[in-house]
Amino acid sequence: MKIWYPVKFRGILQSGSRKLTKFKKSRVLQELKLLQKLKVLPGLRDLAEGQIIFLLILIMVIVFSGTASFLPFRLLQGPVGKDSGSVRAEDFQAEEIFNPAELEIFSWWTAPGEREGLEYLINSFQEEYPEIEVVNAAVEGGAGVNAKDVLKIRLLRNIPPDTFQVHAGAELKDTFIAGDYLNPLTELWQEQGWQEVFPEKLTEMVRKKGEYYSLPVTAHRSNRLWYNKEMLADYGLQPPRTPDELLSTVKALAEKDEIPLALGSRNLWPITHLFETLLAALAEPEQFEALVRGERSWGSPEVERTLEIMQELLTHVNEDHASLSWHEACELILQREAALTVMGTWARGYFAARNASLDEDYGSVVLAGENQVFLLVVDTFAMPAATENQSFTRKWLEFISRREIQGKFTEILGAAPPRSDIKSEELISGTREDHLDLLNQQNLLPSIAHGAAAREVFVNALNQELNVFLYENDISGTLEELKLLAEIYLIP
Amino acid sequence: MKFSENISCKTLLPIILFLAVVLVFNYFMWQNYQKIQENLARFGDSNFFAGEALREEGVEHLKTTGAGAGRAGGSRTDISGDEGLRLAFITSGSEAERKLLREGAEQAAGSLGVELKFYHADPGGQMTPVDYLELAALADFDGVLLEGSAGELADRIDALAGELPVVTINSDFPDSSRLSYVGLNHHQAGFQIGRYLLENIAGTGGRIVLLSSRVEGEQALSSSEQLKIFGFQEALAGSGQVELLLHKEIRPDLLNISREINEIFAGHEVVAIFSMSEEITLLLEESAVLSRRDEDFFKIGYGSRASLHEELDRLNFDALIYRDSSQVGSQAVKEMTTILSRGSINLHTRVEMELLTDDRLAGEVVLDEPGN
Repeated sequence: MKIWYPVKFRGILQSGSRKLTKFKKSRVLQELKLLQKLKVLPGLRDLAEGQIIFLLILIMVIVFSGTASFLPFRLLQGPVGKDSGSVRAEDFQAEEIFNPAELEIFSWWTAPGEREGLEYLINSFQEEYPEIEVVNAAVEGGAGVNAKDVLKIRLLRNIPPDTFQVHAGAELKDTFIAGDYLNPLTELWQEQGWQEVFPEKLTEMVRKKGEYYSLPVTAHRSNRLWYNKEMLADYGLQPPRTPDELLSTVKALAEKDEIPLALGSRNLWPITHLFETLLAALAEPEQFEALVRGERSWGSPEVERTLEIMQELLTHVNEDHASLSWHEACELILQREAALTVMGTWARGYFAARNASLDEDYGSVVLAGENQVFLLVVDTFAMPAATENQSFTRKWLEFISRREIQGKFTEILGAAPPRSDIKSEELISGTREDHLDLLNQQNLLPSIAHGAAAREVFVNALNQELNVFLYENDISGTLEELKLLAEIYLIP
Repeated sequence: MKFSENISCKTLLPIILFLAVVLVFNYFMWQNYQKIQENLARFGDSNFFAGEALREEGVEHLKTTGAGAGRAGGSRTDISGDEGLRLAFITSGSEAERKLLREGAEQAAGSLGVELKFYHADPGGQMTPVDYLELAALADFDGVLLEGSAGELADRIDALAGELPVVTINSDFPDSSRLSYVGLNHHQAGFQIGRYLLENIAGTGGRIVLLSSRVEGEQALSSSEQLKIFGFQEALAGSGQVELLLHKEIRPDLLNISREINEIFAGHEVVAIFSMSEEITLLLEESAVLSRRDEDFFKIGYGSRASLHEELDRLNFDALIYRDSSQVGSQAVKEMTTILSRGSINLHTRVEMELLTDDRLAGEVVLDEPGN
């Protein structure tokens, strides 16, 4: 009984000349643990000094209401809250057993814009399938940095979510398909006739050895530049469209004592994002593709030129870049605290979530060089091999493949719809310029930073190496390291 | 109306009894309140229990700052909360690793003006990382740098969310409320080893044995071991070698490892053994590596650079994958300080990883010292 605790504790701590044995250490520890609960001590002491009657009434209420045995524990336990967005594997396992009507959807869509988009999908799905309880298992943090580790662990433990977000391309194929973690969706693709609905270049990214493994839900353009219109107009500057133009614009803004380029490098990948955007614009498309296949040296001139430009650009970024995430860097543009930032079309979703308007509050151009490059990132949903609720997952996939759903969802996220039967004239201004019709006119390249071009282990290693470059500015050393990384991770 | 006319003895007796209980209860509370506060404050000293033992023998309580005090600070009573951050650093690795972790952490703490207290937990013993985490919460540290892999730590970290910032070290709990992780990218480590083996044993057809450590009572493998398996499998995917993987969870004691290894070799043709935990690597050298010195199979170990250099003969292994403990200690302090002072959270701070294969193992003699 807790009421005797102080006496016991006193006895242990004041036990004369006895040595504190290991056994005693353990007991002291146990008692000390209970002190956490005794944080109410000062309050009780005060009561003893002046408010005994109040305490008496309280005790009587507790005793006579029959709750004495557990109420104090409840009070003392305090809030043991679970992150609303996060579900741990063990928790889920228990929930799943008792609630088989659940569909757990795993993603890393937690930033403004993404979050609203996911909510739209889930709410719409729930309206049609009220009997299925959707568990939003979005894992916060770092655009998937945490989520991907959680997902890997759950897949290994055979307690996967019912469906999860995964980038089409190398991330899907080299990691999840190769590791046999997924159920093929070929039958569903054929039933639904999705081969006719999605462009061939997208379906290639979710197909391996003739089997389809996931369903595209967004098509983001990675190589875009976002800018504060007012700031550029004030200085009579045009938005830059090539790496060289970007460099001269940044220098011009720096001379005006503005912060030219906003960067949010907190989770590292935005540095790689900047790097790959410049590289894609500077390299010939064939060179870029050969690089990501590990068939061309990462010490090549286009990589060196990319690092040279980055080196100069990084001297003109916001000083607090290491403490900001990508969307906080976008916020600097809205607040006129910086002029430009390089980010994918998910930035459009962020601006929309902040009620900012294109051509009024911000502007955007493609940063692609002369080769008209379209750096592509495709979000998809896949079905883990070990999932139990396959019928629910199929319903979910069928639902989110629908024309009207994809149209609205991608509008919220700022992406282009992957379905080819959604025409560009149906899209809002801005998104229209990234419509997938352009895939046939432009050079489609897979994004490195977002897992389309290379497996995650390479991307992580590249993130780290470019983060070192950010601080050390050593071009030749970085080139050597990049060559080494390519040898380790990009060999087929 | 008189009091006595309206309240009977039956009613009065319980009230008096309750009153007596409350008075006794509060008397003891009051008596012990100062004592409890004293002990809570003294938890900040690394020699908390030693001090207790001495005091009980009539020796005056030690006034020193304790062996665990960082360069920047003294004992808790010497430093007010306003002067700087107080961090608890809970380790659970080997002695050699602890030393380097501590040196790295103290260097960072010295330059940042942070007070550090070190506690060494014994995952299977009296004072586990969970125990120390709870005590750190009681002692009102500003943050905890936590090394440990027990599954229940995730629950404790969650329970302390918002109250005690936690940065995990060496082994992560990505689905917990920890603020950041400092350590190796275990997915990458597993992948690198897998690629190394693939190049060396392709087509040989024997079993590749993955050994992981299983502590009694643990529900699941640590995330660090799971991620290494994930990376390892990814590297081997498509080669036909994944089917040859044999994963064994082993209780880390010498007898048990020897028995398990003998059973594995009796039942299978083994081409490689990859130990995914430091303690298994160290025990492996004393069991399979020594007793099967003449057998032709790849032996790959993992652990901190300090422990592996100090406690095993590197030339007995074909490859070792290291983490730099000094860098982990230093980065962990910097990470927590950044979180607490700037509110900035970097979800992962990966530290350098090094794969040393046989040719480099033979050439490598000098152990890197912290700060070099």
